[in-house]
Amino acid sequence: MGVEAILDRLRRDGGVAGNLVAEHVVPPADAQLSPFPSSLDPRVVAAFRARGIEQLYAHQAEAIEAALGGRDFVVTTPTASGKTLCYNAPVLHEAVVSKRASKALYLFPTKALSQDQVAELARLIESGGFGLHAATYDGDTPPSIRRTLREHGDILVTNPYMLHVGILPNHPKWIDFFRNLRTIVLDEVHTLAGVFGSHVANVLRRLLRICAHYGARPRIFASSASIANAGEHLRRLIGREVQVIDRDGSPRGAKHFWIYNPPLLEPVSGLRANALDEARRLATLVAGEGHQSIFFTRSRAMTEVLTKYLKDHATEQGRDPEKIRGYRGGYLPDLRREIEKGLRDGGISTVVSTNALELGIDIGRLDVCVMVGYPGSVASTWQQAGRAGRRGSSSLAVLIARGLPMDQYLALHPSYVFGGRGEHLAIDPDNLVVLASHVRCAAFELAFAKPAVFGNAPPEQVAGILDYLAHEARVLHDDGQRYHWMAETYPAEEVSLDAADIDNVVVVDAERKTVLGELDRPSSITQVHKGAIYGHQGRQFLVEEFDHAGRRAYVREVLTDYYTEAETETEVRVLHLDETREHLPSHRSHRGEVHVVTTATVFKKIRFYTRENVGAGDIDLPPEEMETDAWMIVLEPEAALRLRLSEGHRSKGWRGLGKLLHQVVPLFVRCDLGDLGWSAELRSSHFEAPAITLWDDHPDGVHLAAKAYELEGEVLRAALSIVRGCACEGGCPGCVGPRADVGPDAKSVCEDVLACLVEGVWPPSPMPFAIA
Amino acid sequence: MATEPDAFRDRLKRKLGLARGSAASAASASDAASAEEAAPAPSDAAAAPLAPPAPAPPPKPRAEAALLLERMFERRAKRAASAPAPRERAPVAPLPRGPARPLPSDLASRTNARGEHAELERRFEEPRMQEALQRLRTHGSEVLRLHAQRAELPPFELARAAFLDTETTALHGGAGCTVFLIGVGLLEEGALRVHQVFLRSPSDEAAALARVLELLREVDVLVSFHGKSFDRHRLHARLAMLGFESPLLRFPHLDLGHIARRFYRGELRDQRLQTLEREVLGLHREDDLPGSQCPAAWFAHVGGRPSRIGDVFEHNALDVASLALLAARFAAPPTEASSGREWLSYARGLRLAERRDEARAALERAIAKLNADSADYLRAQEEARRLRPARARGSPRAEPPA
Ligand SMILES: [Zn+2]
Repeated sequence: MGVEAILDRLRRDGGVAGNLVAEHVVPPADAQLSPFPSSLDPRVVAAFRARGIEQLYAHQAEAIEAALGGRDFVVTTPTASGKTLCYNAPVLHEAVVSKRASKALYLFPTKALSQDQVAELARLIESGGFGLHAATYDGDTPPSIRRTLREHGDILVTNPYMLHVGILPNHPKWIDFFRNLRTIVLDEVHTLAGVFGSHVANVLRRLLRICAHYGARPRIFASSASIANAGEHLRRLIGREVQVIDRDGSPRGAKHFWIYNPPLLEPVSGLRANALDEARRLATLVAGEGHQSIFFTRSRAMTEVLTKYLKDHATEQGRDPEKIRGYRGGYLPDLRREIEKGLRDGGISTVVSTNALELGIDIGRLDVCVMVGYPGSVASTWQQAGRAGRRGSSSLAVLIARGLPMDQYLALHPSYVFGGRGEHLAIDPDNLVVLASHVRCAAFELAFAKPAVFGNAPPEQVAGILDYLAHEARVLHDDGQRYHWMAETYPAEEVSLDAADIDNVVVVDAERKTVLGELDRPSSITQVHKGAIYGHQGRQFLVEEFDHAGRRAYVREVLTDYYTEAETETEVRVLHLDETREHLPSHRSHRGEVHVVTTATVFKKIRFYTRENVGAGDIDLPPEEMETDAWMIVLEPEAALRLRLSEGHRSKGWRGLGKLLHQVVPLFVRCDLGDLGWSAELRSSHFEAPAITLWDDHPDGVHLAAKAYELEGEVLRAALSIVRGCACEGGCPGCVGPRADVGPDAKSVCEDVLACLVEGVWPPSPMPFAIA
Repeated sequence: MATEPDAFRDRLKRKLGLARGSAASAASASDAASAEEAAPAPSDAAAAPLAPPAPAPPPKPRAEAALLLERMFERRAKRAASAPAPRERAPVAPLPRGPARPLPSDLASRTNARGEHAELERRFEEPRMQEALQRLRTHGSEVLRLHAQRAELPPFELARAAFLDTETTALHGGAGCTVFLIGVGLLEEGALRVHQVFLRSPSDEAAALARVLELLREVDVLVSFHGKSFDRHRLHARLAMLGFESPLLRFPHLDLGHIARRFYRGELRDQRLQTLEREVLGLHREDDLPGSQCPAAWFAHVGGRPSRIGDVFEHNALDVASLALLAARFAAPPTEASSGREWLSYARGLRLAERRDEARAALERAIAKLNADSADYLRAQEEARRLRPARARGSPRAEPPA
């Protein structure tokens, strides 16, 4: 069924049409075509022609010309606009023209993307008859073929983790490769944000340093989803100015982007119908066998539940449930490949996915995209919506708002998404902790000659770190000219780029003795505790045993009419205060260390469809613990009294201030929202006063909260100016948060508190009669 | 010591001063302003000068980056120590016990085209070594090659073999693993001469490696103890990093560790060189510095602190000498007194050399000596199957269809 017919059906469906609260149409665009640049080797052109590509889109030609002209570039056109061609063409050109003397290294954020890329390269190499060798080189590469790849690979595809811990520290094994490395390709650089991005920027500094040692200066080609500051992001990431290519020349059908707000069930309380139920209802209208649909959910568990619903429905209708599949991280690679292939060749009509399919994994273009809940950022929303959209025909994207403040805000203010250009990405490669970690790794890899240079890191800071490592930590020997590594350790092993690359839990089907999937340790306590229902492709598995220490969960397939949901509690305990600033009479500010404990407490059994609570159980697992740095703002009790923080709605406003600071701090310390945790307590058990705590959401801290503490005055002033400058009425996601979350008075509470903290505006005593 | 951290703290204070100063705040303000553009109602208030300023923060005595770094690396170390040993890693060597022993007094400084390094030469010529050299002269490399069971190992003269043992700064390899002492043992008339090429500091490396290549110029085969998977790769990596053409991976390599494992697996407490020395050769080392403590001794020496660096030379020289003694022990054909395993290894070597009749005879001796419920007995049975004449082996492919 065509999308136009689906649109028509939705508009005419009485139960649905009233819930479509906003519509935005991205008009269709014709292709802007360019011939292959004449400087591109004819053999490479022939290879693309043999693959059916007769002409290029304008942005592809622009990228190839930039590359052949010796420039670095980043291409930021939408999903499925042919970005990979932009770098594959010049890379093949180099390899062919140099007679295999030019190597390329592709860096992809996930293994799944690497697989796709290698398959595409193999097809091109095949059709060109180039005799080049392209392969993935990552943790899954069998040791027996690694040496062959190092010595004979022309294009190697890997990921930042492998580069960091496997390749760079062992560069003597890679000498020929690095000596001839002409091109580095960075794919999906919008995923390199926050602390993770800061780490990767330093891994790249190390990579370029090793290349320079062997006499190579590779060019860098990057691709990215649409972000607001691509050029600046690349400058921070690789320390070079790059050409930004953002003019999309690919053809687009019209895209209809709708926001769907589930109906009010109880107008008084504002309770709305469940978003997942609405997704199920919409599916009967927008999903089917004649076209392809994708449903994005916000969690792995919801992906499984919705998959089951849609499969059940297909079975009832006498359709093949196998054409409906779930997709998420944690499935084994073979299963993921199978589903991706099914999507490309049309064997699968409907897929339910977490954001795992948001990245550029090749699944072809689909017709309909339904997002169950706001994906969390404007950039992600457009990435997901971009999965729908075939050339020359219309596509539909629907965002179903959940009953959460942010989602409801979007239902009221759709321009927040429709008009958004994507977020600004922030990284700070010179973050002292991150930089020091990688200077240490780099010193292991190659002695630092004085004066020490490490990419574009401030030389003074690099010298300071090296002096510290030599004279205090004594892992380096300073012989006057150079710093030599002088320790038995392998430093890269002690530096984790992000939490996702360690300690996976394996899910084992105890009956069939096979591995079903895997998941990261922090989420295991809520997903595979004993008694949990683990969903897999819409089937249910009961967790019989969870060996927490051994990182294994044993499950058995069961027929249940329920799924489970676990609850967690996070407790932040102050371990010690390292530094305190008194700003009396209003507040004190502290820098210190906190202990963050997340405990899974109980789980509920929830019946499919009706969502009745049909049981519960305790979870008995060790908590996830972390010690980290924090910045705490503690109001003096007198100030709290004067600010009337304990009165009605105003008490919720204190939470708004926490939320606001959580948004503002990343602007100053250049990190991602997810890198910081926060809490706002009206009565902190430690301080016995209202306290806001912001902490680094990374074990041991990465100097974010500590830096925010240093910059406190600026952070608070910026927060105040944002509250005062925001044109919203009583709160929005751009300032203190949506009213539904922080109450109607949050904006004025935040303004009062901040005015007191920043400007010393001392509110009048609120209750004169109390004094009298 | 006090000056360095202080200098750093000063630098850091400057950095922090800068962070609160004009440059950083201009950048931050523009960041804040640009981020607001994503909000529904942009405001230019953030970029505008704000009045009145907050009270200046009091001076901060304790926010030094050095302290921060110290805390960070300490925490890391603590966490690594308490982690459930994710993979094998080099143990952090404790400070070497025993009295410090300086460099040997006869250590000589040498100069070559690549610079300077140090070298110590020792001759081992005690009766025990004489006996071993005699044995090696008598039997040559033939039996050793059979036990090695490696087709790529050509016949060689022991006089053109180098006994190689290195001391490195780590077990895991990687670019940061330095080879700081290289022991090369060469057989000469009536003695084993051991050259110990040494890095007094990391800057000696190029000259030292050039010297090692010079020593190996007349050599056909390397003999080591587990050097095939370790020492030669470490040396190769260092040579490659410094731009030398490395022959290390091309050399035929006789690894005595592999033979020892075949002979003594499960019988001795372990198959480390020193265990073999004690249990097989009947030797005892006095005051030996354990190999695990050698890196720390070198680190201390390079750092100008008291160390047991002299003991590292002793340790390395004895390792090289043991290689020669152990080679002599393995060089003679098995006798009535030899174990079933030795006979089995010998038999397999003969089979691989296509000396099938001798192999069968040796295998009979092996089977007679091996315990019938041992794994080696099964291996011997398997060997027997392979030694059966091709037609009798019952291979379906070998037989014409009936
Ligand atoms: Zn607002």
